[in-house]
Amino acid sequence: MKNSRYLKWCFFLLVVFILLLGAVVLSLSVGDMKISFSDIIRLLKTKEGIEYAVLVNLRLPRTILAFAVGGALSLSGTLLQGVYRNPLVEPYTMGISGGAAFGVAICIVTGLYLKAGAIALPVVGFAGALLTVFFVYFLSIKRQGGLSIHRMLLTGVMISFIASSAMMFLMSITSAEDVHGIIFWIMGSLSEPNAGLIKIAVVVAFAGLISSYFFVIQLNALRLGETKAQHLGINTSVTIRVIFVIASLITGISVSVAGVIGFVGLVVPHLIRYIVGSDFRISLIGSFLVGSIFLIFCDVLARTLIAPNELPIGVITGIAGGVMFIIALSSNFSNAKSLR
Amino acid sequence: MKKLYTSVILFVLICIVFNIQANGYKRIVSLAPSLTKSIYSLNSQAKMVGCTSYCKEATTDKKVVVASMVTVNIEKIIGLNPDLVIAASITNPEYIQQLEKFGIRVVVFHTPKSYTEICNQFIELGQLIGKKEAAIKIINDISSKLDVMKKEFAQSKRRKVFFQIGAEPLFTVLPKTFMNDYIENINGINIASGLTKGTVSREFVITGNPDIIFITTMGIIGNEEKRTWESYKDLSAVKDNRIFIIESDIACTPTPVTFLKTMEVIYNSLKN
Repeated sequence: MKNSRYLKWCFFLLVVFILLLGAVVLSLSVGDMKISFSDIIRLLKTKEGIEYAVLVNLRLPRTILAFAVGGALSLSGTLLQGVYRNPLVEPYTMGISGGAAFGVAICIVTGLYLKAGAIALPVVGFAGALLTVFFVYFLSIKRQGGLSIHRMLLTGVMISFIASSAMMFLMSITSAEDVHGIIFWIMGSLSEPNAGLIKIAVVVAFAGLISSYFFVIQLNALRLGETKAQHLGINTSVTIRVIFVIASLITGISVSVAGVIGFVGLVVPHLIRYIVGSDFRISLIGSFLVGSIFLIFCDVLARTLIAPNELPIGVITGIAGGVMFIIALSSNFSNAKSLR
Repeated sequence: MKKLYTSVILFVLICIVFNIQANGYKRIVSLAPSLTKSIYSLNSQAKMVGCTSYCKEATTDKKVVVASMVTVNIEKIIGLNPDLVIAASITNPEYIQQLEKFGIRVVVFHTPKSYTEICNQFIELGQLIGKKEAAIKIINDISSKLDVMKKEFAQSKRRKVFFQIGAEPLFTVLPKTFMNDYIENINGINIASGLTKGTVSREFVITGNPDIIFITTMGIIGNEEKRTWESYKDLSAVKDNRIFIIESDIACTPTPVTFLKTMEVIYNSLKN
């Protein structure tokens, strides 16, 4: 019985790896410039020509960023849904996207963006995200130590509302170009030209994945509820705090670099729970990889649906993710049960 | 007696009408920076009583600010007692309706789609403020200077042009807009000539392999975009070193004077 479960997991991981490979190749071959699979092999050897520049400077960074952000957001969603034990929680419920978007809005409206250059947006976005995390964290500290999960949720939601109202205020007093720029950033984009930022996103995503595995036993225990986990000897307050920090950091970095890409962190954890169950030993890596595949596919769609124009990726993930979610909910396979 | 009476009144009325037509409106509120610029180029800024917060010349002259880019303070406008309000297509039609309810004449100038339309609107504006002849003179002057430039380029071979007016998102000049006339005047081909939407991907531009790239984004972003394009060494524009940054203030404003200024900048950039 035990073996069949581990076998199922290995098979699942194998399939996911193959799908990931396929997604990466697809993403590298799709675009305005015709580059087929055999071309890719040839270009990697010769390293010359405008097609190589397009492959390495445009398509590869995009694919890598989609991999990192999709994985980070899905992992964050899985972690948070495990801690909050609430199937509607996603990385942005804590207000991180609101804080980051507000920071970016201020940056554009005050003209800082034009003076400091394109690097200002991710930096200010991350600052806004961090500020939000601090608020949520410190407003939720219980008198006896540890964090109140209830209060974290409510504070996060409230900060989201405040941030979005503040943003609408900024948009109402500024020029049409600024509004366009703000909205475009909010809708999400994976075409980040700064290679350093992409590296940061990848490193942080992997760091998040690896560090969350140090708490996989505690996370599994938390599935029974905070009290029962404590009775099992788990230090729940430390676990909750660390998981919260990990999830916030990887979400904050992802939002700063790629904008607000919604639904990935909500839908993929549910999908994983449906396919392999709630055991965190498999769902952490599973959600990371499936999230990456999902976002790479969405990015391909964003680039091809109205080519040569490009759709913002948040549009695709929202519609695709939302439709998938509704289909999954309305079918007989209710995921809420499997949260335990 | 009755006949004399009527003819005197008629005479006075005709004088009043001709007076208005000759001297035009006297208290004008402008709701668009481009229209403010046109008024200044017709030397009629004395007639302006209100402007937007983005009208640089007017705010320096301490004219009353009555609007931002999207919001209009109706009460302030009415308080200034204008006889004419000129607006562009960005102004919300609701504001225009409200102003007309107060009996103020509002003339809307929709974004011109070509240099010819820019000229027609300029002359129409000139007529409204009683400076029609001055407007026609300015247009003729500018058009003849443009014709000289166009003739020079008509003989060179056609080159592919990418005219970038935005970064994040990457935005191109579309056909059937007045900025496309910049490209037509240098006998160029807009690589976006088949598109109806301006948000393009970088790959689209690279595939189009333009011979000339113009960038009109403001501040440091323009320079960053130029550096990004220059990293693609095989692009025709990079090989010939033909990537130029133009101030968006003069390139994106639809007035005859700024159109000429932009063409002069383009001309000088290409001739060197």
